[in-house]
Amino acid sequence: MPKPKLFIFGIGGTGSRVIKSLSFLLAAGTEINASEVIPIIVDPDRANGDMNRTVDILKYYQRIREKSYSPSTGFFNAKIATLNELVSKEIREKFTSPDFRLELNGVQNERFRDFIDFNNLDPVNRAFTNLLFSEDNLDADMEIGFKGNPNIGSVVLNQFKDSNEFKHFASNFEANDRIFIISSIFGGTGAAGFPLILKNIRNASDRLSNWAFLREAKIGAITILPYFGVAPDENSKIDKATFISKAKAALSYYSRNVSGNNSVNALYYIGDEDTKDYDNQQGAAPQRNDAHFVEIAAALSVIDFMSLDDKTLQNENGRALNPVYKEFGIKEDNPRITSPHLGTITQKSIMQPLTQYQLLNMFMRDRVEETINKHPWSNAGKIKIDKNFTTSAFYNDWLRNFNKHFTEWLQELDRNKVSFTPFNLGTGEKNVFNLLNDIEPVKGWNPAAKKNYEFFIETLNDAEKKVGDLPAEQKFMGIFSQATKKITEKKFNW
Amino acid sequence: MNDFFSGIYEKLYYSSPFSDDVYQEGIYGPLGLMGIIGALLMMAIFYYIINRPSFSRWYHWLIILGIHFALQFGICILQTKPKFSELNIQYSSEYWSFAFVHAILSTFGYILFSFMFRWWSKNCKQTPIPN
Repeated sequence: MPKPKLFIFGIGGTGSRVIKSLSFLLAAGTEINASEVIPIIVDPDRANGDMNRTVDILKYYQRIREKSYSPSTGFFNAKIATLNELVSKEIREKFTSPDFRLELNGVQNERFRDFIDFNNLDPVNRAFTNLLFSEDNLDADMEIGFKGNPNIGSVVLNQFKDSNEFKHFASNFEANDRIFIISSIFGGTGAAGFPLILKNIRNASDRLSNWAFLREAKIGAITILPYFGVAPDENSKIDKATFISKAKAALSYYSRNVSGNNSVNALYYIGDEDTKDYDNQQGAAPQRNDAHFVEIAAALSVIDFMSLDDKTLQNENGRALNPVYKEFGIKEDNPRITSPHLGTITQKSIMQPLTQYQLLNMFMRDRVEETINKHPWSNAGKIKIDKNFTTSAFYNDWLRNFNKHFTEWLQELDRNKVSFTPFNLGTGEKNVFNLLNDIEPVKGWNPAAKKNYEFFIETLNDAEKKVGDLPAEQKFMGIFSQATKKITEKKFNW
Repeated sequence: MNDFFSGIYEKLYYSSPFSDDVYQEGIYGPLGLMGIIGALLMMAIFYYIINRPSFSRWYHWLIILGIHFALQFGICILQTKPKFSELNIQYSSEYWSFAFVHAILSTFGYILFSFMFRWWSKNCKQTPIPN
């Protein structure tokens, strides 16, 4: 049975940050039961720092995978595609957004009152509108998002069902494919966008291609409750004191229109009471929050959803027959979460791949330049991994920059509250395999055994024999994937 | 065996009566074998016993070559000088010249065996010259 495609709607800043976490997990080689992952980011704030960072990471991911993927490597295993890439060339040139973002019309340089053409409403409708929206709401500049106002978001985002992107999404959606929606419940874009997108899919017009597939689609979603705060700022419309009340209001709506009417096959919940206050940035480039463990856990819900059997996700007349509700847990509550605190399944699915990728990251940081062309892993075989390789765009631009983002992500997770700190980020050349916090590497009895990077290089040399002659990028990633797998098995008994 | 090796050594170094005495005492055979076995052993030590990424560069290989050269030089002196002293035969510079030639031949063996047998070494198969 071929694997399904997965369309992920990441709504708002939280949606972007969860997709970012998912990208790193997939880059490390975490398995997902999908032939292709198609992220669609829904955020009116075009300059949003979090969104643009995620889009950069996704673009690097694609470029790296295109050049380096082979059956020898587990890194960048999953294929990530844009909606753009699924449609024909003619359509692509005319309509669809060139990257992972959904284009939203009418939000640039427009106030909400202009968007709804308030001034041309008749008196009755104008009065009704004044009941639903305050003057502040009507004067809201939507360019940097809905600033914690889902009532605005629910009107503006309704354009989604008439958009070209939705039509292309529908025409490329097959019976076996799945959808996952990621949103926060305490913001503006996410809280509005999730039920809207869900409704537009379940009630897809019969004029759309594959409308029947959409109505019966297997849909999962994660709704993220408050897990961070924002510092008080009288100049900002965002106030953390309203997060809980907004979450309660949204949950009340969801209990009737999401879980209450079985619209979703699998609904995941997550949040955290122990929060840190970020800078109060309403939107645009400065809205660039530190990564948080909750976002990784949310990304795991996507992987979990894709592992569910088709029989668990059956629908009838656009309603889930047996909806599933899940929450995330860890073994031990701790303000500083390391690998042993994670549940067994979580540890198994992410720690080995992440450790492998961190080993690659460390070797690139510390040893590639000085070992290139000096050891069999780089100079054996017909295809050499040499200075031409290390100065190529693949290595010097895409992979290096991707790894910079990866390191930044780990650092942010480490300093956040709650802290997720599986790796000792200060580990050096004399203690390479002490990279895991709270896990001691296996030590042999032989004092003459190779240690640290010497052991690493030997394992790379061994892997080179198995990988054989492939194009340099595939060879490089294949060697590192196999070598780091062997290292984690030997040093941590995984 | 003495005849076989004498044919090789005497093409590079012959000094009468020293070389005749070496032949008479049957030194060529065992010395030749030690040269070959020593070269194989040093090659194995570098490529399969030490076999470390931190000791896999061309100059590490040269260090082993140098040690091998010195060892074979010493072995040759030890094979000839004590024996001739016992027989009250006096030579001087001939010992050093002969030892030098023996060390060169054995080192040549080390180089040849390096290029023949390095391919199965995990860490040194591209030493001293990558293919």
